[in-house]
Amino acid sequence: MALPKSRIPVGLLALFLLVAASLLSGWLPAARFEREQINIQVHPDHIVVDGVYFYRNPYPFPIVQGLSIPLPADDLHPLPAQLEAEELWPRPQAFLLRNLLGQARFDLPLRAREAVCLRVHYYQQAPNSDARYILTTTRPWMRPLQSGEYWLVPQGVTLLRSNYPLRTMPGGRGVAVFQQTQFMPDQDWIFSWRAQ
Amino acid sequence: MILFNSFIKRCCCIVFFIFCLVTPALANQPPGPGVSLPQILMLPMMALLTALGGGYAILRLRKRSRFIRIVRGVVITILFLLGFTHEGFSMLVTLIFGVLALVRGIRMIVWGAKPAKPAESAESEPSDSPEPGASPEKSLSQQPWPKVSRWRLITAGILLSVVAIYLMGSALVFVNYWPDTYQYSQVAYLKKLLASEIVYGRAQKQQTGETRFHRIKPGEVGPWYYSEILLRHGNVRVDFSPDDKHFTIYILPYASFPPWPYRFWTNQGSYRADESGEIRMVRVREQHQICPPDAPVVMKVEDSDIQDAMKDLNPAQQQQ
Repeated sequence: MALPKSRIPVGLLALFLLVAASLLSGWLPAARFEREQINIQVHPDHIVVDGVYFYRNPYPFPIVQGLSIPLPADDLHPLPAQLEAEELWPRPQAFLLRNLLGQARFDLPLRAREAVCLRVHYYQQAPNSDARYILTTTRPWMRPLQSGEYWLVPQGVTLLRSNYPLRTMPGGRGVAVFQQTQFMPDQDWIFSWRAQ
Repeated sequence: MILFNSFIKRCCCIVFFIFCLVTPALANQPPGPGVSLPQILMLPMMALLTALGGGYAILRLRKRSRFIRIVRGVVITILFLLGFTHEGFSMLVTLIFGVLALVRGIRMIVWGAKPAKPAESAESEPSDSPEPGASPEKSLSQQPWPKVSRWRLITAGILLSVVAIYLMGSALVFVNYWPDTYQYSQVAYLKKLLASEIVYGRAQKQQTGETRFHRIKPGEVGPWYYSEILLRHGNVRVDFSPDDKHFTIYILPYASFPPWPYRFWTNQGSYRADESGEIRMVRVREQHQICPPDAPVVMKVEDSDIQDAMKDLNPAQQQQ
């Protein structure tokens, strides 16, 4: 594409704005999503999910990263209830939530080069004794997770299947886990159980 | 050719289509407060609709000094970044950009409404005032008037004005709008209250042979203080049957909804629970919309809740 010399600065500015717009549209998130530890208590008819997530601001200036919480709901799995998000450190606080465009959302402020740990908690009915935890939303972050730990804690149930191979903890009363490093999931975590 | 004849216009089109293709199911959303999207969209929309309407052919006549262009770019960049530091700033920046877009839209309508004159006789047309900082001899009124379709200018101008007003409205409506503030605690208290009612009903059945429930009312203390907390907010409705053998508790959306059309951007949970110990929920867009009886069950009272309620209630029943 031939560009007149007088237009080159304008073209470069437009290119910069294009990249900035991509960044701002969420294609290139500002914060980095580095680690997560998911703990799911599995009851006969419901699950209780506690996710701990680690984010980092790589820039030398403060940013505000908007976050939405993807919830796995379909005809057989009702919407989760008691959704809660809070910052664990460095400044423990509960986040206010709002549902915009079909997603629960909140704002995460990060100071320059700061790492933040936050927790998301929800309760979901599982009438068919199976459930799904959404992992594929890691992909829009553009980088694999440095590490991820995913725990299932049976509460009066026996775990049946998981699409990610689980390792049962010795003496852990059926507690099972899978761990990943440099993890860029290409499928969600689906697991099932039966009541004891 | 008019539309795609410059690099900038192509970029604007690409940005526009990027925004159109962004899926809503991302774990992340744009950096900045949750209401920053109108701020992000405003200038690309202005550029795109100006290009679609052929407005750049006219604007190109306006010669601005390099200094003015640099200052304008710096100011816009600073404003843009400022908007990502706080929700209130984002609203202000959206309003500023929105006013700029609105002015552009109105000017396009005016340009389109005026009869086009031949370039050589364009001495007095259009009567657009020169921009501050522009030399009088370079004002639009003294330039040859390009041939631009009038209906395109008017249509794009109207569309740009509508989009600007819509996006400005969204910034005003959603700033500091956090409707789910009490939802988590209210559902937790509802579950505890249901457990207490179930325990009370079982005790009544043992004593009288009939299951009756405790008719909750404002101002209660002791083991029923959950009901006091629940009823403190005006969004909880309680229906008891005359013989107290059945009850239904509704938690309606706490916050009022934004006006049309913005209410379609959001929703809130409406809950329903009864003596079965099941809590049902639907997402609604009307503040007084109650949850239907066949809505999905999202939570149930568990044995552990019953045990806790028994600990709370037994001392009270012993006192009675």
